Amino acid sequence: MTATSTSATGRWTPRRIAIWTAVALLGAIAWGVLALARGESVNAVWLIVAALCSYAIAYRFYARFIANRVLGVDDQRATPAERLDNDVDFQPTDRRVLFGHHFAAIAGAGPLVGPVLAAQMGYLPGTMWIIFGVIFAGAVQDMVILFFSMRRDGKSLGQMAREEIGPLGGAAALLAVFAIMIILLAVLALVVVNALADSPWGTFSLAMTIPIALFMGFYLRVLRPGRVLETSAIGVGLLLLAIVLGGVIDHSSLAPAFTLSPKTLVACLVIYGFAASVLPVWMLLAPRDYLSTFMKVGTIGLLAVGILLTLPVLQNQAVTKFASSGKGPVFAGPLFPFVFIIIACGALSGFHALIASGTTPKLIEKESQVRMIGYGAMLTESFVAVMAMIAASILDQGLYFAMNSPPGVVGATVQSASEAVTSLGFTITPDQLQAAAQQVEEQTLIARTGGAPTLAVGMSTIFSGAFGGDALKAFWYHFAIMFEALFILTTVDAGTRVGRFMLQDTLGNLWKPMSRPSWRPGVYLTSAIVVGAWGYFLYSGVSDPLGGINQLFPLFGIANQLLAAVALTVATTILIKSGRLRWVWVTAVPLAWDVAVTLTASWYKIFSSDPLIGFFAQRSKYQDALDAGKVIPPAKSLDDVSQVVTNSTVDGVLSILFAALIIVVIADAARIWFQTLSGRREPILAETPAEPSNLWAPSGLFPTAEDRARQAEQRAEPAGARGGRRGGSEESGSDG
Amino acid sequence: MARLQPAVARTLWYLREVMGENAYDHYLEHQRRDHPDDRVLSRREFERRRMDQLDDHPKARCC
Repeated sequence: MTATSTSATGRWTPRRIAIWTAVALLGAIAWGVLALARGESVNAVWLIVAALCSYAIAYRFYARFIANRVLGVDDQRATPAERLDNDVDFQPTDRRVLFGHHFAAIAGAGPLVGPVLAAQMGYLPGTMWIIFGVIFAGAVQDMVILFFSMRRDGKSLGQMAREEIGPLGGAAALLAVFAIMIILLAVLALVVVNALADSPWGTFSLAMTIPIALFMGFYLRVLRPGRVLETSAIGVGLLLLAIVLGGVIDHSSLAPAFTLSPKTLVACLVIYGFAASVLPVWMLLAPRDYLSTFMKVGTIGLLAVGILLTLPVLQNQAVTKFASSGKGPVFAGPLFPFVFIIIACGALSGFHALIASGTTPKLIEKESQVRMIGYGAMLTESFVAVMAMIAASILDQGLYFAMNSPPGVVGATVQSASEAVTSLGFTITPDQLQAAAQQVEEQTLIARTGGAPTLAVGMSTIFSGAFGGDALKAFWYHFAIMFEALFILTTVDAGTRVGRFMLQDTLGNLWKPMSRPSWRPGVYLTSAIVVGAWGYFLYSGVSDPLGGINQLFPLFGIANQLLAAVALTVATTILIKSGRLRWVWVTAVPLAWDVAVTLTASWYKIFSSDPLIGFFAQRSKYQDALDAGKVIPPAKSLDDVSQVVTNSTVDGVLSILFAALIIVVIADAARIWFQTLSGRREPILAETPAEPSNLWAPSGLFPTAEDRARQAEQRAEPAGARGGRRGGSEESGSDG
Repeated sequence: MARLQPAVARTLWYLREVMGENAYDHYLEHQRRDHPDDRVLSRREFERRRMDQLDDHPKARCC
């Protein structure tokens, strides 16, 4: 994290007090500038300063308070990595390395896409939620779940829900996990389809990642086993070459072959997802993951450097009129609750609870490191979301709305888009729209919804400002598209495989052979079900006249916040059962907020009489038209109308399911809270008994004086004492 | 230059650790410490086993 996260002990020296006062003042000034600026342009640097100062204070004070007082981290107690070290899934891992693993696992397209969509309401509401949401909810959830899972030998969220709440809550949690997985995969795949449709450059570059991955897999398996760095370097080189070649293809006679319609792209993605799920991971999945990790971390770093070098000025308003009217074209609905739903992963992401209760708790060396890894990695993810908000907000607002409104609103030509943007209250001329598309060498930028193209235009503006000038704008645009598509597809292929195993496990309870990974018919069947499920939503999103992102993204946001509610409920239950009622607000307040947001959004989606927002109001509007044989825009045919009827029915039923799941989990947990607090039930915690720890490792990023002394002591101990740690050699070398 | 060297070494160490290139070294260390009498896998065997383990234990990537 930041350099301020040092020493775990030590007194309040005047110097330290001065530093923290300065950080607090600087943060307050930055927030003041953001909040009070009206009508004048604000530099993006204020967003960065406000974010970093807030993070520093939260990490130093709040996260530390939670770790020490609420959770009671105990470094005398051995972690599962130390007790169960088997050099396979349990092994003590250097905290900085684990931070990298954990961050690479939680960061994806969500924090990049959500803020772009939320920019419709201005940069301020979204940014405030990204920063305060992460401090009080998102990072808290990640750290607390990581800690509780670590205390239970790395049990998954579903298992913890079953053991701490009960079979009903556990089953509801499992169903929630599976449902969110499907919607998540569909929405992310939709982002890729919208970014690649009719774009030969992007499609060619992304298609090339498959042969590149196959080559890397072969290289790593047969030629140079285990040489991951060199393989990745070759892969990244080939990838850059593929982006450059894409530009050549774009102007060649091969372009039509790579100009695919959205529906063709859907078919390609579904076939790809199925293949990735049934093939051995070394062929496709693992090498793609290496590539994606490199590109992800590299590009995020580049973006941060680019923003700092160019110090762009925000074109977006702090708060637009759509914040209060709730009638914006990007997504419909009022600021509360929809900004909190749309931002999704950058502030609070239930999906992270699956990572924090999966691999990470089995690798952590010391209990106190949950602060750096759980809270710290989530702060970093939030910072990525802030940068995405900046990239979307430096665009001309006319262009932003021309790109992000569904085709039903802006039409297909630069003239219709220009008129539609004017009627929304912004200006962009047809020539300007044409020029913007030409600059990045795309045929059109109109109705390129899903966030990825907008982010890519923003990033190409920043990158070309910092490195290379206008000449490289098209390259940077396609670089950004490639980077997003690459790691979205990594989520899609890994997610399909994870979903397949979840389904195999569940069906295995009914019929044993299903759960055997070696039984091929079971593998094919479950893979087909998972791919078919997200493929269905993807296809319906692509063919929806109302715009798939507009319809499905809120559903994805609701599902993700619902999973967060499950995670926070489990955490709250454990706090109550372990007699920490005093501190229960730490998870109960974000839980209450999250439930309010999720249920209000579900309420709108189910009961709103506005057909733009409520799925059932939409359904009856189009059903009436269908009965009357009338075609109402944006539908172009009766088939379109019946498509809307089907989609809104399915989406509406899903909204009901999500709302029901959240209510079931919380009601079941509330029963346990009540019984525990009234003394009617002896609380039974599923925690693993404590065992003393024999290894020492620093808690924070930088070792303190005490850490160095303890490490020296440990090194001096006779061999035979258990002290093996991953990466210990480097520390002894560099700190000695 | 001399000052840069530790920084480069550290970065390389970090990349190797994060990407799993050092996994075999850690395995050797682990075997030496906890199972000194067992046969040690060759790098090729080890990397194959490590990769194939992922076949049935896929790691979720988040959004």
